[in-house]
Amino acid sequence: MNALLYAIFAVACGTGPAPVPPVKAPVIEEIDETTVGDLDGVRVPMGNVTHGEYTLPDGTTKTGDICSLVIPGRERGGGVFVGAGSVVEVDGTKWKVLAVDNPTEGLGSVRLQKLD
Amino acid sequence: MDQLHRQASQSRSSKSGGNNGGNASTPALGNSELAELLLQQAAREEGVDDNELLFGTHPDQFWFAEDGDDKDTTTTTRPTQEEDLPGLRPKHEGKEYEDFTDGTAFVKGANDEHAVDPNDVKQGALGDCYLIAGMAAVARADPKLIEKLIKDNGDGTYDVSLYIRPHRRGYPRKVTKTVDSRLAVKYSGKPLYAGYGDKEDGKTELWTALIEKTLAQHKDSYDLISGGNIGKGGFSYAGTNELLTGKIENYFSTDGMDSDEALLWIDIALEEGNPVTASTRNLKDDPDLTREANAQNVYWNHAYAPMSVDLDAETVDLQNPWGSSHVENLSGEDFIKYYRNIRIGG
Repeated sequence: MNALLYAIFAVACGTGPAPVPPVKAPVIEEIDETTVGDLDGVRVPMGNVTHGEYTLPDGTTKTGDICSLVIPGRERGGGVFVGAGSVVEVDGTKWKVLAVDNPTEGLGSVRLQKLD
Repeated sequence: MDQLHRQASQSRSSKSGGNNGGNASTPALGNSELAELLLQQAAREEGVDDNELLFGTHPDQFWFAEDGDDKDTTTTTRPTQEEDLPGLRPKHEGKEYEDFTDGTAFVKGANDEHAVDPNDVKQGALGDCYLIAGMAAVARADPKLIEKLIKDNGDGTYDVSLYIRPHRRGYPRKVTKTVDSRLAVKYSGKPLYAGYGDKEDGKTELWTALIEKTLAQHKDSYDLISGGNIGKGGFSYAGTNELLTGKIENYFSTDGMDSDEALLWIDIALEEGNPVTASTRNLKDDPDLTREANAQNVYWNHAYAPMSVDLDAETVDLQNPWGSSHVENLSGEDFIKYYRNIRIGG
């Protein structure tokens, strides 16, 4: 079926460049401090950015800028503290923390990438 | 494209107005666009989600003609607000506005006493907890005050009034703006900023988002109503209670106040039906205290709407404007430790 579609594509393009299959774009979301983000339709508030220890997926601990994510089902205790490299699961989908921004002034933020 | 998807696409096409307002027309399908659609279809069959595809043009902007489509060329045009839509936060550029055609100002939830209920408020991706918590406080004190602020024109537009000071020392004056139900949305189609309240009988309650949008309209930008930006640009902001009721509010610093006094002020305000909010201290330099506070759902640099006080137990419950993670049974001592002020409306 796909071969047929690519063939139709070639015809539609005439003598244009060779077809290039679509590229998967990484899904990245950013949540500001004390606001509510949206991870695949799930409301996920972010608490505060601070400094401290957090756990990586391999179980090791690291020290750095961290923030609390209030993930549905894990609200107890004010949320989960995460830092760069942490992986959290939200409604069955895993998200990797790319960075926690901890500015001296203004709101901090966290950037997360959806994992396949 | 199946019928359902086709209808959704048509609907979305008519809804998307971008920042410039107006209805988008449906573009014609050229060869390259058809080719792109075919590639996207192939990718989908391989299990790739729409959200993961790099589109030159979003597929929802296209739809395929079917028999009978050319017979009815009439389109329903809803009135839109005259003013340009407020700008989004710089980091949200690229997000679109969508017309909530099923929107209405107020919807009474199943267990709500009034259509306007404190549980209607849900903060979104904007740092305007001061505004959302204030809306909850006024809704709790007197739902009718909120109802009086919004007149539903029945055509997708609303006249929304706020009490604005002409200058810092001036008394707040009622200023009305007409806004429509176009709201910035996330990819999920849900509002990007303040969320909607109840949904009943196919109607979606928008009062929180409409008030937020109107304030943004006053400053031409959502970014300029975010947290520390509200006072910028010559805008005289003296508290959300005043903004929504027109009555000057009282500000009490908790510095030097003992916990009994703080809880008593809150209790009296709630008993007398006055809107009351409380804002937390900045604990940025104290990671241990941050963790301790967060564990009780207290987040610093955040505003809350007190819900109830137990004077015997010396505890207070506070509503988080997120719509979740509320503070329960916080001791008076911890309240003084974490909260820097109490604001009580008249």
